[in-house]
Amino acid sequence: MISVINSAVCYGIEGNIIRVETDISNGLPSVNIVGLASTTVMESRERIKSAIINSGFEYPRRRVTVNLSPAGIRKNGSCLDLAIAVGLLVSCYYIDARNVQNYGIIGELSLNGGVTSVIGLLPMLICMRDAGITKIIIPYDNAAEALIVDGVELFPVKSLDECVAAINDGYRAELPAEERREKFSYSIDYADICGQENAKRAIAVAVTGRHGLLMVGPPGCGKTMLASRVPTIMPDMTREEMLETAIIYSVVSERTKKDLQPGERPFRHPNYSIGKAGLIGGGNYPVPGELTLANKGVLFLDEICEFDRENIEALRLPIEERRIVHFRGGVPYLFPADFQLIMASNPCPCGYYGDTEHVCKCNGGQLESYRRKLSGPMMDRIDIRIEMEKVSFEQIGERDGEATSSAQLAEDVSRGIAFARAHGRTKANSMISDEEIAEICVLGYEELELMRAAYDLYQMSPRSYNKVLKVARTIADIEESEQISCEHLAEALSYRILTEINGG
Amino acid sequence: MERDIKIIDENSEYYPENLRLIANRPKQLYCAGDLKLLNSTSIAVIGSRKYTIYGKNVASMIGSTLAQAGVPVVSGLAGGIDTFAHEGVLSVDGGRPIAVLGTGIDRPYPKKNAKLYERVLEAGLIVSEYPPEFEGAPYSFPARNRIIAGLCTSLVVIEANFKSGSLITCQFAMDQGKTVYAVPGNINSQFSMGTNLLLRDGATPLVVIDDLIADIKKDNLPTLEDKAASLGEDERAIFFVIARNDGCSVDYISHELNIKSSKVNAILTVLEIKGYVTTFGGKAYLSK
Repeated sequence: MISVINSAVCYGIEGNIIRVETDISNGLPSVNIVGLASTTVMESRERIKSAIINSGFEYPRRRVTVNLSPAGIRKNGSCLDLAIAVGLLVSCYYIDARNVQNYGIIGELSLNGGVTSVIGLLPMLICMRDAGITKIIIPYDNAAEALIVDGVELFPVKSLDECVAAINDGYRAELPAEERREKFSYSIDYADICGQENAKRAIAVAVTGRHGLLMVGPPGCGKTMLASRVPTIMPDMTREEMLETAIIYSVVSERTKKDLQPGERPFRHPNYSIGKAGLIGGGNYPVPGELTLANKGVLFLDEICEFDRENIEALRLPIEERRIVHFRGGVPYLFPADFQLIMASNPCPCGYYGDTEHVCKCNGGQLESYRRKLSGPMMDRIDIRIEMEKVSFEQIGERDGEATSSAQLAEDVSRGIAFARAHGRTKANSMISDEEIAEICVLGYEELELMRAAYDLYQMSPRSYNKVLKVARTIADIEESEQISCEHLAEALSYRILTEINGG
Repeated sequence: MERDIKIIDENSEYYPENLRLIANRPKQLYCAGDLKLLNSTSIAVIGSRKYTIYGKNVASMIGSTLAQAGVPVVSGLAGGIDTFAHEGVLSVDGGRPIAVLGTGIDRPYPKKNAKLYERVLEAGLIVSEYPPEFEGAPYSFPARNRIIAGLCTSLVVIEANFKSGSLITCQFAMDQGKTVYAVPGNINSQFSMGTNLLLRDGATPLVVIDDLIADIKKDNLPTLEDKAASLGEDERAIFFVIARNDGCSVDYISHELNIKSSKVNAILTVLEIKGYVTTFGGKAYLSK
């Protein structure tokens, strides 16, 4: 008889419902899987056969045909194993065919009949839920990550046996308790950093308006420490954000998954030796890169001048559109890339240009090429730039107890965001378009005069002028001021982007 | 010629302080034009009546550059270099020429400079120690040179032969302790023989015209207090912290004065726009 089982596969970070049709007919014993199955899926024949036999069922000695519908799209991954096995068992009357159509089935089989975890469970769960399939059998090992999806009834199973019991008798193993934390508490805090109050303030402004930030300073001045604490001052994750993040981390390797706790904002810190695919994602069946893993969190690019120019160029469009699109076989794979961008750089290759205590060993040509990297297209992505210097020993000693903490900065950030929302601006200030600027960033007479003077003095470009306005708007939001004042502008000007590293 | 001629004697408030200091000072000065120029900080530009195109260009260039910088220029209204120096000054709107005559105050000499005399009078000041209608005498021209040297703070010789009257003026200036600049010339040029000799004897070579202006300004350098006079309270405090430390970071200022770093940043930007400080590599420095 013919059986139809609901299952799903994962494309990028989206799930797609697959109906597994199994037919057993007279003929020489064989199993044929049709419907653009990849090698992984074709190999499932052997796993399924052993699993069925080792679970104590009889394997049909007839001709088995499995069709994966819709037949026109490619299928990859081991997540269809369990569904195909169940289809076979239904066709052999081990499982009640009337019950099975209410279930969605996802899982990989091992030879002994056990069910093991799959990659990309969350997108599959969500597409099933959206298609109205709410009872879903999943591998027990995946149960913990699946809890974040609302509106589904999960049946975690450890073996094919348990799966059969679940469908026939409604057996449901106990789910692990969900860690629904309202607020993730980070083990690091800005209070750990002595001095660098100026940088902390700039970071708070950057986070409030989602402005790209560049820190320039000698080695050991605390750039990495400052950057790694950015998630601690971002607003708490909403349920939607947690889900979006969980979906992304659901489709990546187990090792990457461990980087993120539930409710924690991602902090991605790729080394400059990373390849293009590692950054923006890629592969035959595309998987997310660092930009997507940093979604809703922080992307920190340290030593920005050491990155390949090609990789830097690849960042431009994703940062602008806040998403990445890969095309494979005419099919678009959408990956979100909505993150807080933080970059850091030494002032020169050796790191000591402008330092009072060390001698810079770089020659003119090195400095020149280094600075060129810091200018141009890269700087278009940045609204705020700060120069830092090393914290002296005296500062470490003296300022005990004075360091601004994450809680204080987070207060500034949430105040600024709330003020902008209250005035009808839901978009981050960095995303204000040039057309909207005249409407949102209104300047009075005195303010215009200040900007006129600054424009000439600093030899600003129209682009950098607009950036200053946007940053000033963010500062005004933090101070809960409807008008952008001279003080806000002046502070924004101190964070302005220079056309070259030490130029005006 | 009917002129509004004033007689300034040693008791007048207009009598130049510089002249009080020199030997053989004039008892009285006949003046026409803006009397305030008598006590201004000025530079004398002189040279021989015979000139080359080089001398002509340099004279008018120096005249106009000084005029642009607002510095009054003293010369002798004689032909040649004096004429070009005056004309250089007059080519700039608001240029202030001062002409010291060796003739009576109402007698331009040489006569062809009558037109220039009018223009100088209108824009600046004419000075002579001789009463009106005095036609001049061989002794009167060298004598007025001591007044030219006396009025100015420093003196530039453009071109001079080694017998030129300009060298007499230089001698007066050196005796009075003024800085003497000489414009270097080709060593095979008769017209630069005198200036090159001056250079050999220790005059300052005039290589960059701005040196003249910098030299004047150096004498009246404002103090830090003067500079900070127009600043607000917080601006002033920050200004002095930077001055004390010869450059410091935002964090340092913020800690020192207990002002939030955001505010320090804002104030620093305003100070930078006003031209008081310069920021570089995360530190603020006083502008020079």
